[in-house]
Amino acid sequence: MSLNTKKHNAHHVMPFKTHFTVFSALLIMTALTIYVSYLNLGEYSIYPAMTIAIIMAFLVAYFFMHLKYDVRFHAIVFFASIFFLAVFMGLTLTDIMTRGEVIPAQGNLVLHDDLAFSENKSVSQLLSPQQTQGTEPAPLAQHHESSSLDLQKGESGYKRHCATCHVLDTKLIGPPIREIAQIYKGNPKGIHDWVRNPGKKRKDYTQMPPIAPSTLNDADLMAIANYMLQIGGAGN
Amino acid sequence: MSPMEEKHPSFLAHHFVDTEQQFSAGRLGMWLFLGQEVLFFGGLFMAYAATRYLYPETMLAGHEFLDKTMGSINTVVLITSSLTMGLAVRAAQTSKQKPLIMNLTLTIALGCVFLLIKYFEYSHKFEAGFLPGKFYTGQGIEGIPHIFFGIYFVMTGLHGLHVLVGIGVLTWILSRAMKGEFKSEYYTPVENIGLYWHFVDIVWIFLFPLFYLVK
Repeated sequence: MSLNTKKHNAHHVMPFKTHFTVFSALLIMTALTIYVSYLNLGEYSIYPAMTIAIIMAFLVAYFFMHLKYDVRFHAIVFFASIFFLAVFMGLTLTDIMTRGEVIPAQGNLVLHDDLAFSENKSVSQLLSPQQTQGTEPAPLAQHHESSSLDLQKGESGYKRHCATCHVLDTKLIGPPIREIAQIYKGNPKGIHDWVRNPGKKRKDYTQMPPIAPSTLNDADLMAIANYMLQIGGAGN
Repeated sequence: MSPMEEKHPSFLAHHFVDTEQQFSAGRLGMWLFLGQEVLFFGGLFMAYAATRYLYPETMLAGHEFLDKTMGSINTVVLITSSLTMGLAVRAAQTSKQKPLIMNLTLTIALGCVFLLIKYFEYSHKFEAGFLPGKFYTGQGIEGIPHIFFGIYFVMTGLHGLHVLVGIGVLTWILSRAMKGEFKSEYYTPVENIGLYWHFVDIVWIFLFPLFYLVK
């Protein structure tokens, strides 16, 4: 009939002491998290902040929201929704956090066919010399005139705006960077103009969407263009 | 109470077998709603996470323009309102009318203080041109500040809207409480708005460090 076991009784009246103890704990932890934020932990500041936030949220849920005293199913509902949120965020982050790191030798049919056809050639001869590690091209700052800072900016801009469709040696959604570098050799402005207003040159590629200055300003775009020319082997 | 009243008190809806079932169903309904709210806000937290990962310099610069003091005060305000809300539920559970009314009123008042502080925060931002998306006319933040403030206003604004709705419902519950509707046999509405209010507090417990504290 009714769920009135002593253990899971939502009619349990929480003592005043519990209310005020939890309240004090929450205030102390608020003070603590504010204090920690002044400690200049930089990019690591998120860890203590989130740890404290999770503990505080747990206290509110367990005591104030009576999950300690309540039917277990309600806790299951709550934590299940958090679990699914974690799945959602986790999987989305596996995309966002790996942009620009497509490894050509993995999961691409074109390169696989090349490898299968010329199996007695070593993989390092087929891939570009910079890619013996199998990850993104090594920065070539010491060989070229562009400053290393510009190349870094170009590289991070490339990862953010271009890497989902363009990688060095393989056709993804767009042509490989090596090809682009050949077409626009010594002409980064050409890449810039194309990005702002892509034409439609080839049937076997989908239409590239334009990237507006509000998303990517001219300076950053030129840095990306120069970066592409460098790694594509058509540098200054 | 007459024997008839005991079996069918006025607050028992006809589709329930007894008051226990009604109480259980009400609470389960609220928990399911809160489960949905976790995912509702979760989508926005995901937008925050993605922007933070891809544009750390914008997050860092934008966050400097948020008022840590006001944010901290608001955190204390909401946590205290959670306390008064819990005490209101307790008063209803023990059929104590005066503390029930007092604590409900305090919770509403603290909610209003929260919104008032938010109003000051927002008006500072509007003056500086820190507006969401295409309305952004501010200076001094590199990267994608219009997106940063888009996320900031949607998340804190949506949270503020939840606080406002909570205040509205609490006012209704308060008026019912003043008519003597709630006692230990029946306090389900107070319990449920309590759960909602605590949840809104939990969302702020995460919003506050993510926007105001973390670099």
